[in-house]
Amino acid sequence: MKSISIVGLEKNTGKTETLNYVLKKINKTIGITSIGIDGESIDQVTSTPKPEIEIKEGTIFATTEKFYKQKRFTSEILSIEDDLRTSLGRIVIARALEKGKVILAGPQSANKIKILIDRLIKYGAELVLIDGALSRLSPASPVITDAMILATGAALSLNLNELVKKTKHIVNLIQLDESELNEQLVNLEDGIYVIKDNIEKLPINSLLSFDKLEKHILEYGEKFYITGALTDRFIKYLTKQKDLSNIELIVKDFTKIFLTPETYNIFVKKGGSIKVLKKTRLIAITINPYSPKGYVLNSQEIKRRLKDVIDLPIINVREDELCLN
Amino acid sequence: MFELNYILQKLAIISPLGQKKLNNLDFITDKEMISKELNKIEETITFINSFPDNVEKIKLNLMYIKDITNILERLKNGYILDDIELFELKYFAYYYEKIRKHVELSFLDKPSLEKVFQILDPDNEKLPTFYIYDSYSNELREIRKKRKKSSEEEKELLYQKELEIEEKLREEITNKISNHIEKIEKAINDVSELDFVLAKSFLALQKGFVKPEFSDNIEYESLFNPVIKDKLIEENKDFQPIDIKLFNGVTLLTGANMTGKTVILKTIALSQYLFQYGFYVPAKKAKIKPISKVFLISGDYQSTLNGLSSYAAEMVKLNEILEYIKEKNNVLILLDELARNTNPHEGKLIVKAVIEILKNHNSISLITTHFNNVADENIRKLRIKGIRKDKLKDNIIPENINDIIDYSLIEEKEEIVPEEALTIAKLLKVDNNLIQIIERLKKEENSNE
Repeated sequence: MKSISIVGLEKNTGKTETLNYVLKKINKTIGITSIGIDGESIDQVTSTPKPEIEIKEGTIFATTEKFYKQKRFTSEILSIEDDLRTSLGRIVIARALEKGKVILAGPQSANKIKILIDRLIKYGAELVLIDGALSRLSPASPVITDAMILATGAALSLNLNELVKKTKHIVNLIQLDESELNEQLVNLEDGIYVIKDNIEKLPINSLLSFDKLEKHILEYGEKFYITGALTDRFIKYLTKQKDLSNIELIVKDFTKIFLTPETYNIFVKKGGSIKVLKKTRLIAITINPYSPKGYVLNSQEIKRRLKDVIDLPIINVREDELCLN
Repeated sequence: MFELNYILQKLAIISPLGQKKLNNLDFITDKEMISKELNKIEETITFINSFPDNVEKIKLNLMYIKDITNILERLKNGYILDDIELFELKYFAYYYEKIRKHVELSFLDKPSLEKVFQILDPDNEKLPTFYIYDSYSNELREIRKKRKKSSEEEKELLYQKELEIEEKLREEITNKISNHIEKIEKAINDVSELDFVLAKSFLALQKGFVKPEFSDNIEYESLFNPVIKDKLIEENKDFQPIDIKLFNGVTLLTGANMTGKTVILKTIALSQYLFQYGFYVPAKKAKIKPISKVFLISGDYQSTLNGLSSYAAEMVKLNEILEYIKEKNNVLILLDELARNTNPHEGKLIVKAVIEILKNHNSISLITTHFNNVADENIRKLRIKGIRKDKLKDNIIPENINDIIDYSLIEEKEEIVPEEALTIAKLLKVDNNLIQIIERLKKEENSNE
């Protein structure tokens, strides 16, 4: 395992705390960066203070020139990556010579993140942590890493039932099986494809316009590959059918699925299945019982309820010890 | 010019500094300066052949070279460099030194940047990494030590103090480095020169270019068009090179369709550009003179000059040439089937008039045409041999039409415009009905005369 992404289910579900926690607990030379801009000391959306990322002495970190100049500890510049430019300048790779806090910002595209992971390893990182984004807007999906940690918590919902349901739902999606066809599909241009003996492109570019098709989409076939977003509206349309037992939908990865738990469950109950081109190994779930609005949920209760439905280590970053296999 | 861009894109330039050199390419008209550039390539080719291992190491280290001219500018203007700039300078010096040790070329300055590197490497680690090292100052070392053990409040105070010391040190370091500004500048120039010359030399080696000699005329032996040659090689075919000599005044070039008149003009233009940009040229032997400007009128201008018909666009271009040669001598003028898009009667008169103007001008002009009787006996005439009669029996398809054409040039006393349009149309298997009508009309025309 060379790289782990840390993904928050919602803003302030404790992703940064989870990162700090993993950084503290793992006894390896860590390389660390972020997809896009994150780790700002003030969250730009909710204006709540976010803990900065505190790195240990010896950590190899990558951030932009602008944020590098703002860090407040001694560190040694190892490399400046001209080909990994961002709107905030080039990427600087440096080694922390003491512990300190830094704002991380990496490139936005999946390809560049991959390159950066390799470079961090080249400069001595034994394990690379990626501060991942889970957003429609992020072009880089966290599945590019070997493994993933999911951060959930009170910020997602103050209703414990809701929180468990939503978390379980995302876990289901992350754990969807990979399609056996991924080699044939991975390089196809954007669009919707029907898969029979051969692979044919449908005359629509995204599911936003599926109702413009001449026939009902299921008259074209039973197996579809969708390069873009899999929308709730589309699945609701499909679930009007009685039986979906031969229907298979393939998407790039779980971040392309925008379904409510209810819609997804009905689709699966009627026999439909969703597969992905690439999945990553989910290794743990961290919880943050504190909501940005100041409420605190009972962390023992959250843990117990999540454990009932999810077979993964559930860690309270404020209390527990980490054991990764 | 498309061909020129194609060749320049083939250059294996490695560093952004070499790329900069290419982007600022000058059309050189001074003989001495061209000669200097060509000699650099000659020396570099010898170096490549004698020390291939060194060249490999140079190329490897050139990959790490970045453009630090903005840092040099900041040094010159007395700015204090920040950590990132100091890092980039050290990184440059590190890889520059690795390159310098492997280079043996007389036209480079080869200044040493060892001193610069040492200033930025106080611990003698010999690594291309950087921070304000403890060993720059005892005070800094003490503060950093103390900060590790102090409380949060004290830490903040100590950190402020540390920032002040670091800033003072940056100033000191920058001042020390400033003593070497000249060397840094020369090193930057050396690297861009080296990268560029290596690329030019490898291009010459790979494409079989030759070092041109100087002459008062333009003379090529086995001139070839590298763009078309590359394409033919892909199809497992050969390019037939040609020999050509051009003197001051007008030379008229005739040849049937598809026999490569346009290619000859374009190749001569390309080669002249390469020569005056300081490159070797695509031939076995070349004797060239530097000229003040190349003019090539070829093809359809309708798309390039908006709103004008191809005839009008051609006239605009022609006028540009006529204006230019009023002021200046020693131009290379290449005209491809001038006035082909207007009626043959007036077209012919235009060509005749242009020849009259150009024949006594102190410039070299090469004009291709399909018109008959445009030049008197004093105008030099070249003809492309064209279709090989002995090969005509072979089964001809458009793809192998090249095989039946002899592209070489012969000098003619008389003006002979080959009438092979019909032959070629037949070879291309154009509709038989049309061919028969043309033949009938031709017969009628002949019997009327």
